[in-house]
Amino acid sequence: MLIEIKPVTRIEGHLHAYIEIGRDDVRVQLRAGGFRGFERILIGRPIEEAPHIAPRICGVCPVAHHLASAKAVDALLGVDIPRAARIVREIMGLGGVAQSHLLHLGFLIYPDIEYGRGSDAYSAPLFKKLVTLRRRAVRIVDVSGGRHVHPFNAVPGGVLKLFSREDIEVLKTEVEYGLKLLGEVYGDIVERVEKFIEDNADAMPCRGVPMAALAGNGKGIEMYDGVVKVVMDNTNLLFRPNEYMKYVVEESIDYSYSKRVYIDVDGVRKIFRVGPLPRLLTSQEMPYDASRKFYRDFELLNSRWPLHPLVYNLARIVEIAYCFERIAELLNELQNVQALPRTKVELKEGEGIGIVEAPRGLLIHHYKCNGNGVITYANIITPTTVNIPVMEYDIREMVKLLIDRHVDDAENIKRRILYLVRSYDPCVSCATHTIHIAKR
Amino acid sequence: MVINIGIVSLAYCAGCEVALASMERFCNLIADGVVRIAYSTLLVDSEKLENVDVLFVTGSIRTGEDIIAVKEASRKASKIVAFGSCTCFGGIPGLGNMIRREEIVGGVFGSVQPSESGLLPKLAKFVIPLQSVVDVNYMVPGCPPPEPVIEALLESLVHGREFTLPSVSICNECPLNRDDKKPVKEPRRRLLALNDVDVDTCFLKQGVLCMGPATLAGCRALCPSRGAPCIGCMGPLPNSRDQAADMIDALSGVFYMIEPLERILEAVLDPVGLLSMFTLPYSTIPYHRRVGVEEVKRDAD
Repeated sequence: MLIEIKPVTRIEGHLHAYIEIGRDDVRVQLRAGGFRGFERILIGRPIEEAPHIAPRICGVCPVAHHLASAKAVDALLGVDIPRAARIVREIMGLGGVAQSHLLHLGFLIYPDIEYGRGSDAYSAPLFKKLVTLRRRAVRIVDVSGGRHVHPFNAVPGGVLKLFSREDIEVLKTEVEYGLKLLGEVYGDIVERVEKFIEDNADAMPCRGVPMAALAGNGKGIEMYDGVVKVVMDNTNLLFRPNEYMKYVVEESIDYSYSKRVYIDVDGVRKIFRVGPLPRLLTSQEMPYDASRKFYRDFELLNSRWPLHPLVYNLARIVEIAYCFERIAELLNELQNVQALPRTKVELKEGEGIGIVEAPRGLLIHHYKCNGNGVITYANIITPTTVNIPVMEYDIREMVKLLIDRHVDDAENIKRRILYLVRSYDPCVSCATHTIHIAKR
Repeated sequence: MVINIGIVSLAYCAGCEVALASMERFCNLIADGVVRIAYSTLLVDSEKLENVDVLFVTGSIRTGEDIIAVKEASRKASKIVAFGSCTCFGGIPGLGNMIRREEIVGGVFGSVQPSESGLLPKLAKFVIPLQSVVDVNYMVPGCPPPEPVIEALLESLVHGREFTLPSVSICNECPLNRDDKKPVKEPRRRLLALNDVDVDTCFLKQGVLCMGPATLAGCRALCPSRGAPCIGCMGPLPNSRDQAADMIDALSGVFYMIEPLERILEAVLDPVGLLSMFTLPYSTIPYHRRVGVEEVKRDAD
């Protein structure tokens, strides 16, 4: 049997799923299109333009690309940015994660968890509430990044503008309002998400694949800085961003414009997972009230379906709360920090790597430039590129199980595949950062 | 009456769709059933485009299949909106027009070339603007289109009025513009200017490249009013055919005292990339247009 999903809908980017069910094996190819060639386009451009150009890779997570790019340029120029600028950037990043998660929750996965309602789902009161909630996160990025789609406030050495007094008031109000709205819809959403998982999790694979996320010194989730932590079977691997080339290997494949990425330890290559689920499972205890409470619900669900891809959907909700609460703490800290937007920069030849947690997981930007500050090399590894091989693995395992259980109705299998893929919230424009599929 | 819209996304980043979906007005129109998204692989389930009232096209035309896709889609719509600068002018992916396509693919993938597998669409030689392929009713530029412009577009769609764009430059709506531009003695590269630029004063007056004079208004000078020089994402003014040429014209008005001229090129290091960051495929460089359009005829007709 051959199942082709062309295109996979309610995900970002152009993706075709191709599943060949044979007598003994299941072959799965996720073909990513939409190649635009950003890594090549960046070459020859002035280094300070990279944080402008890179966000255009993806309009759903432009903040993450903007920040990873700015961090890579800082590293390349050898500058440490002032604390105040770092806080503004981190708030921008947290706002970006919250808005992307809420786009997923309010649009991309929403009809799946509101099932039974079909196209009527948008008239449900929950939809309007989610839109209002998402608007809070959008406003936070507007204020901290200059604009929510393709922000520009982060520049080499810091940020263009710190917050004005009015900005801080706006941000505080938005955070408060955001948490209030989230509290109001939380019960409804969790009920739906749990039912969604319960109804669809039975035949899904729950085996452990290594996972990776940033790890900081403090409690909670590290989104902006820190070292990369990889959790495999019984061992942990920690490496600094500038060591990524030692452990992360990319390989081109002929059926997709998204490369395959592996974690390489002592010559053994393994696919690995990134994103909200690994982030929560590798993080320390949540330091704030709402996210701590939500985290308990998440742990309970994860203990019933350990590492299950559908559990990503609840992990996102915990993270939304965490983002708002962390922003509130950073705003408080900002009051006691010297108001310095930028460190001085000068031209130099160099190489720099910037890693942040994008909404979908680890994002790596790596540039080299000549003495004139012109980019000579660019490499970008996005979280969806990392997750696509895991999705292929999960689909294969799930389809095998479904066939074993004599679920062989193509529509049913197709629906399950869509649920699984959407739960990862793939961002294919990121994965191919680069063109596009519209093949019929 | 429900207005059915379809969104066909070509080589895109989804920023335009996100900008639309972030407008409270738009979401309310959907929730209240005034507007229905009949097709968008990002936002709804339908795998095929049905007949729609308004077709939004986003993203750049990057492959031969993009051309076929928009041609087919255009037959199913009564109105076509080129939404975002990628569609209107080629956008940042259009900078790929400076590079041979074999090199774009080879530079990213090395020896394994997905484009040769026959499973994926191949790159066209050049990125071309939508209006060189189909007739466009409304051009809605911006990367992404700014909120006031989207607001005006929604207003026109819901109430059946004509949609119009401003006809002046960003400088006309820029709070930093005091209409007192004087010749500058020192052109300054954006990177180094960061060390002492005053982000609340006209950038051009400080010798820093700002695309304001050559860029269409509509965003209320969003970037300059928030501390950043304009990078030209709204594209050229209505009567212009080349944003870069307009900018060179504008620069000659402020940089004419600078000698030797090479100093300008030290500051504006990458003139093609900086002056036509979003509009290279829409420029007067004839080669792109001629070869690109010929390719359209050959591949898609």
